[in-house]
Amino acid sequence: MSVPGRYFDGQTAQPQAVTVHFTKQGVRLDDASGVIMARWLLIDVRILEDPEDDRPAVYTLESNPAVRLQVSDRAFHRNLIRYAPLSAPGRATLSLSLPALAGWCAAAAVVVALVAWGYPKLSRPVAHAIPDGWRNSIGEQVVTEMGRGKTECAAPEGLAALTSLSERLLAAAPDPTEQVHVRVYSGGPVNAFAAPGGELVMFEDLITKADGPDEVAGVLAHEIGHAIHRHPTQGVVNAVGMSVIVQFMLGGLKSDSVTTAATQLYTMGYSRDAEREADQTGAAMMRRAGISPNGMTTFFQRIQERYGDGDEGVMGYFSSHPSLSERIDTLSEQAEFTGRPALADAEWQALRAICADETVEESELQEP
Amino acid sequence: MTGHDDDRQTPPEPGHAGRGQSLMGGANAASGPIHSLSYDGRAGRIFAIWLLNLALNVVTIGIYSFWGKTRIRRYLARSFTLSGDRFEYTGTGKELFFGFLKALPLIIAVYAPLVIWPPDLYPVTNFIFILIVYLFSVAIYAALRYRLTRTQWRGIRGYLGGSAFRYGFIVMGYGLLNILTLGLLIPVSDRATLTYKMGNVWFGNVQGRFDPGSRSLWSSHLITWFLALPTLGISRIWYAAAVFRYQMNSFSIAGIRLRAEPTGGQLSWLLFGNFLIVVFTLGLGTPFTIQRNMNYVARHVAFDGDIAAAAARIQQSNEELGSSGEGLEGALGVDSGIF
Repeated sequence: MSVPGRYFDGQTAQPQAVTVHFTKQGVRLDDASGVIMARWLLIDVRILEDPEDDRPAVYTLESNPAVRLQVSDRAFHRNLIRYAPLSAPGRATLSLSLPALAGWCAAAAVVVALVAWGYPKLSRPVAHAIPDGWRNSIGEQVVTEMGRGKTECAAPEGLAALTSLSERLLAAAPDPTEQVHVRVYSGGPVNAFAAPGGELVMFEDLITKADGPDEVAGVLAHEIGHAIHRHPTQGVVNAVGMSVIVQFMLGGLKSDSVTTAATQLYTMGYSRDAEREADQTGAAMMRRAGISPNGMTTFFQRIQERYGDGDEGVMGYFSSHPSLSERIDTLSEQAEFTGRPALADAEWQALRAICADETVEESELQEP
Repeated sequence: MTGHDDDRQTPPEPGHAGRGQSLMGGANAASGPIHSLSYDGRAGRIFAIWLLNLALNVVTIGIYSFWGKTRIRRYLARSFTLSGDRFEYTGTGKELFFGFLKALPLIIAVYAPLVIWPPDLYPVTNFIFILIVYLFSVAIYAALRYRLTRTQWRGIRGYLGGSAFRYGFIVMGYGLLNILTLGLLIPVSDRATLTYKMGNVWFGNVQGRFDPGSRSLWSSHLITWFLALPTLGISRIWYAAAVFRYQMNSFSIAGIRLRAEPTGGQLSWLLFGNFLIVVFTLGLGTPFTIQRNMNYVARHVAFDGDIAAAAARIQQSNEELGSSGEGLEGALGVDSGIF
């Protein structure tokens, strides 16, 4: 068969109109005046592009990959495929049947699930391997950010009471080498959190709404539990690592908003396992320090009465925690334990007034 | 930008123009036939390739992206036609992947100190930030070179001469000037960087020429610069359009001049539309923004001159191709250029 083609020698920009003859031995190219220009061995021919829509097929040679031959004739292409079933690497073949695409998407979903499940297991050892210096500087940044627009409360007697309580709890910790530093920010919410590097923050409202020092001690013990297990650092590792992984996976998709959203969905709050771990460590610490863990229980109970069973969460802090009923049950098992109060009455009053002293300037917060 | 461009009529013959009409015309009106760039890529096709890439990227934790990117580029290049012949992208995923691997140690070496060093070592970290700006410019230039050497038309490939490192110094030096002058002198720096870059573009054995002549960026710069604050920077889109016209219309190669006259309004519409598409499809509409960008380029870029005469004198160059490409750029996560 003979079909028209367009030939480029790869050396000049001059197109040459050719007649392409196909035989089972090979392809012969004749120029416009009928003179033989070239003979191509079938085994040497490579397909660069399949014909598509009104686009011609493009061929080249293994032995001379600079040349190009364009042929629009589909029958020629079929013949070539039949007798020279060879293609160049990198040819833009698209096996895009719908089932294939669906299959790849399903495989992608499985990988996403594996990463989402497996990554936290990895972040734990990583969090423990991070040097203290890094954790401290990250923690300070987090704490400063959370305290923006709030005042750090520092009435000396209140601070002394809080510090001695945290030291007492820490001394009863399974690993007393861990350092913590508690501070109180004015106002709400009824909340406390742990940042990397043992930086703990309590909000004033939590102290004033608590029914006695044991409840504050319970929350504090829980947060120290987080700090000991390095959950905050793990959270940061999770967030950073996941955003990198998601970004990389999405490859061509250069939409930061999607990456951020996916990462945030994934890394919101601690896992329930982490909360359970903090609960258990906290309760153990309290007992060993001679404080009744009842405080933890009653605090959760009162919150439950007020807000229901945390899960639907009016309160962000408790929404990621195990359901309150479950925690109350767990903690009540230790209810027979009676200790001395977490703080003497004078100390407790001082702690409640920790924010009353407004002499601390806000500038102290603004400039960390 | 400069109103002195001669009356640009709609291209006489879109597909197969340029058959030996000699280069006549007046002295300043270099008006051979105008050859438009045509684009016939299909959004559905891009979407299919893109979606498959996305799935394979996830499955391979991103490793596939180099091959996926290549696949998109091949399709896009093939969809552009000039004077009857399609462009071709000959890069491979393997080249991109190895380029990335090669650049990775450098990236780690540069970024690691930022993480490890305590923040009170500011001189060190500041120096590293300058180094990163420098590396970004180097990476962009090197990537442009890779893409030009892998883009061909009628079997002849492009090339970018000059030195990526020198380009990095030019960008960094003028960047410092722009910081000190609050951006007032941006046209000076744009002219310098464009002159270096565009003047080093080759096609085959022919080097391009970048000659702004009487064109100037000053009027659009000053107007949009003063309006930048009240318009929250949106006015600068008009400057970006002016730079595009300046860059294209000042460039000629083998007697062919580029022509591009997009207005700021057209560019704003492109960007605004792309933004809406991405936001309201949660990123799934990205392929359609690609399609819009390609259509924009094809609609606005034209070639003015005797292509047949130019083709007669252009030969393949013997420049080295380089074995792997745009590693630094890939590793830094920047993506520039149209393909």
